[in-house]
Amino acid sequence: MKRFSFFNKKIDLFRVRECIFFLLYFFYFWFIINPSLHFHRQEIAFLWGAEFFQRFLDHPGGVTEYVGALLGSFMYSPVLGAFLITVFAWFLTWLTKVLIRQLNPKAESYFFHFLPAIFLLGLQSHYKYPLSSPLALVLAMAFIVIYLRIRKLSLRILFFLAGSAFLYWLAGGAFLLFSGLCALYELFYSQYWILGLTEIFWGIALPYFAFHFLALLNASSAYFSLLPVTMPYIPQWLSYGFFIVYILLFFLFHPRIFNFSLFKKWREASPVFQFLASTGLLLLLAGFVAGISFRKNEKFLLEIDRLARHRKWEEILEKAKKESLPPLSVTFQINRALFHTHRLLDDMFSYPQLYGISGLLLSQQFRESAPLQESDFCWDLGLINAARHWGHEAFSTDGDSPWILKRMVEVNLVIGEYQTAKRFLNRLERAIFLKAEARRLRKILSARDPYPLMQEDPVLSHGLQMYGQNDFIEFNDHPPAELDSLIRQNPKNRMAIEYRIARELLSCRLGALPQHAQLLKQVGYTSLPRHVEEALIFLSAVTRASFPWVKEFGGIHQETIQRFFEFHRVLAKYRGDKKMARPELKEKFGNTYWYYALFYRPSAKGSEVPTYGGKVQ
Amino acid sequence: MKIKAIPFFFVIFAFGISCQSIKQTKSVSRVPTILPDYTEIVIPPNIAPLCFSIQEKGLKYFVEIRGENGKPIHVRSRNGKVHIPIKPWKKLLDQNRGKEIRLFVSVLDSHRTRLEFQPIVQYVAREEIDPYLVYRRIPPLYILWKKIRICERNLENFNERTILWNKPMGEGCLNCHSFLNYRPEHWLVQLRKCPGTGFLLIQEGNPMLVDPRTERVKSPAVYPAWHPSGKYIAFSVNKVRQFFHLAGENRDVIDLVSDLVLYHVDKNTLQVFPALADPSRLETYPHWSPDGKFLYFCSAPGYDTTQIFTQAIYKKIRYDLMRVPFDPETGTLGQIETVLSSEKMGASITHPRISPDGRFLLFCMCNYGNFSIYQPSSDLYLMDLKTKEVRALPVNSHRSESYHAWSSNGRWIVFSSKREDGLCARPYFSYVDTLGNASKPFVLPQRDPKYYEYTIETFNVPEFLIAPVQPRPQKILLSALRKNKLIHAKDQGASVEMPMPSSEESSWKPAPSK
Repeated sequence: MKRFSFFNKKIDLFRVRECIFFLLYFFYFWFIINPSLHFHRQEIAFLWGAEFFQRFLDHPGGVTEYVGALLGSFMYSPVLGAFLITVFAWFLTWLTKVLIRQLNPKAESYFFHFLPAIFLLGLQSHYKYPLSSPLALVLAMAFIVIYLRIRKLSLRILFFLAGSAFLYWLAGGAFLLFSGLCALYELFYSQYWILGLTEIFWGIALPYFAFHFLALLNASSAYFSLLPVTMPYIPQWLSYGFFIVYILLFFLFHPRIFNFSLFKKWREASPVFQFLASTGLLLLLAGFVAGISFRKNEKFLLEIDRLARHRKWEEILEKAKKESLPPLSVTFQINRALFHTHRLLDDMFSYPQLYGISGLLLSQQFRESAPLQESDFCWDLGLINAARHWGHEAFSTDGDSPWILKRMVEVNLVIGEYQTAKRFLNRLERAIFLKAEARRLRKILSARDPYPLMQEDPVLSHGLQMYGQNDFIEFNDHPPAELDSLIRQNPKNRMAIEYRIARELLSCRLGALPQHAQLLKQVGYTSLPRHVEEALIFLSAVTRASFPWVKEFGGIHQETIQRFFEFHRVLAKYRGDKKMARPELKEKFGNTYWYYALFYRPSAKGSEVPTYGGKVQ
Repeated sequence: MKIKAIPFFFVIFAFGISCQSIKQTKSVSRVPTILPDYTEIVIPPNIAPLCFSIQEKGLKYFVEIRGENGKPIHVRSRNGKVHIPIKPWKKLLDQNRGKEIRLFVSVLDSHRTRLEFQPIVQYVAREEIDPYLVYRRIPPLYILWKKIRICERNLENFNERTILWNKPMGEGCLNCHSFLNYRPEHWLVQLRKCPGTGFLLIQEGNPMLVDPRTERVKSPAVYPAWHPSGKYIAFSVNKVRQFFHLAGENRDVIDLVSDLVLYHVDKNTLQVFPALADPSRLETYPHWSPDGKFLYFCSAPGYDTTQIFTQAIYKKIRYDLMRVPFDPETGTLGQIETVLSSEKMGASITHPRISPDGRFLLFCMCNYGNFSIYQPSSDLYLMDLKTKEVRALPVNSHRSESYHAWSSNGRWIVFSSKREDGLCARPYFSYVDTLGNASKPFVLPQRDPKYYEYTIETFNVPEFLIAPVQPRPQKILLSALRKNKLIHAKDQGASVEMPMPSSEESSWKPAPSK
């Protein structure tokens, strides 16, 4: 270890560098990436108990998936999640360092041992990347290091045979890394050619044997399970690069290659130069990988979604303020947040409404990619059976996520299916998180008659109040008829009324607006919301109709009327040229219904919009 | 002397302690509440132990299982869960065929009083049940599916193995498994997007991937029924529409169009009969009589599908039970006749299943439609084919009973019941005697008595088997994955217009990958 004297103290700068590197690594994941978004994105499910564990025993890699699910659950906390990722990175680094030393005891590892951690940084920046994958890689590396430690050939062979089978069962496809690197070692280091070739053969044969005789697998999962190469959302170069690094290390640190004159200059350079150069390369590489892997848009989308899950409406609106091209899912949550902060019909056009009705009421295509979000929405709207439906879709898709289990308990309590509620609660109580919620729900279910306790509970009382007994059919895209049915069933359903009106505003079909606007009185409005006023003024200007009933709301504000005249004045200034008038109109009236109707009116042909997280083209 | 005295005093001490545990014994004039409910049932002599959980408050639980013959079984528990050991249980049942066994339950309560309940009586039938049951395990399914497994359970113990699961098959759908004459080496299972669409046909243990869609019949096959000879398989082809209620039972399904077709196994051809593909009718749920001379099926009048919801037409759709004579040698049909009219019964008739001896016809009736598993009103009925008498079986509950099957000896039935919660279907068994009287049903036993309290999976389409499924699961999976070995069926017979749309569009679809 090179040591440097500074002020008469011997400091191992390489150790210091290592500490700083992992500290930065930790802070990067904690503050920039935010692992709680991994938890949210993946809907990580873990339950204590034999029944959950047994599911993982019937296929290779199952045990690592199980431990990955357990550890992944702690990513609910950003700091714990960042800590776990850093620990994996540190293990990989340490094991790689040990490996290099085993390959060539005379060689310094410089910064090469950090390379796997840098690749892991890129991989782990993807919010879908499961924690079971780096765990599998760490296990494979541990096995390699143990293998290389064994000097006696016969013991090494024995370890390889027994260890590879065990590793395959434990960590699935990560076994390929182990058998591949062992084979490289035997071929190029110890030069036991036959053994090396046998190990390559074994690496191919064992998974083949597994999927033909042992487990229900296809070829891809038999060979590559838990390896990042099977994850299509990850750039191929990042996932392959990880493995290429190890192959390169085997060649680079081979005594013959390492002693090559090209590297001689590097080895003979001063320690200061080596330190600075290697640190510079390290930081450059880490920065590069971090830069190209960081998914800002996806992070924003997940943050909003997570805030909505936790019902932090003000924070959503604050965060979304500056976003000029929000994805569909964000617009959907913004509108929900506006409703819950009593601002939907006053401020919805202060936020970009790029998707029309689809940003307000998810259509079938989007619900299927975000079933729990749809269930949350249906719950709020009072479509309790629909909340149950979409909760089940989420359960089918994502399994025992505690949020899904909680929703299913609540929904079944409200509809009176106590047995089913108990069943879901029995599972929720085995989850790591939401313990307080489980206790709250158990208290209610354990009562002789849960109904009075449900009426006192703020969440369940909402459901009870909203759950209607009149049956009607759930349609794909929440048509007006469905909202009308809700309003008929419960004339005080504020969300149904406001969403009905918002739907009309976004579709620019104002025919029924006067009729629905009058319903606002039933839900406590004493004056008309701003956008309703804007739309009524517009409607009146176009149809010359008058709305005497607005007096019940204290009439339309003079300010709104003045603004409408000003809007027309600006438009007239540009002789009706929308394109020319747009910048000035946007600046002065960008938050009005008029601006939306002029520039965002939905066309007759709908545009192709991608999935829940997609942006408008 | 001193040394010998130590164990003696220890025994006295221990005895004294145990005597001091029980202050008094009290008789309780009822049977204990247990879950699952295994009281007053008829059980096969080869069934796995009926482990249960005692739902009485106590510190310790004691169970003695006694029969007229054989050694009693003693089980103790601290948490109320009664795990009955397999070997002594099997021995006891075997020695008491045709007789009853009694379960004496006592509970030590918090006052150290030993409460002795009235014994639980179980009757051991003479006739065994088929040793294997195959079913599909899925979470309660709405639109999206992800994990689907076809499982085989050994009814004589607790072993369950997965025969096929969809994860390595691109998470496609597996459904409608069907066996020829309870034999494990002749069967089929439907595949959708696995990655192909068709069915896996296993004959003599050799799997073959078949796409039954032809020029004429463009829709995939749905409900299958093996002809007892093994030469034909009757299928329905259905365009199914699922929809959801916003109050009450959530899910509902109707057929927009459905017909029956006949697949010739040896020739790999599909034949359409005009009588079974009537454009003005909906034909579905084919089932053959045990002698293969009749094809039973359900049929309802067609309707204007555009008005189905606006006029609540779906509530008026009711199926009659029909049958048509069939000549297995020539492959020709006779005249269709009505066996049971929905109008007469005031309900829709579905899922006909005839007992192996040809005596009884078991079927479902529900308020409307044909997807009885989603109908809480669905109940099981039995028709005596000799006397034509129809009666409801006493196995019914206020929730759905459906997807029934007979054992090979005709003495046991299995059916899917949602009686616990209306959501998850569990397999229930009942003994049916020679006069058609059915015993109280009991649920499939599990090693953990509380298994059903936390399992949220439905056991779908239970089918009996006399031996384990063949071939081994890995071979079945590999055959299913070999899309390049897909065999396309051909049309046979005269051209018949089939009003069946040619799309794979379905009410159910795989969950989008995340």
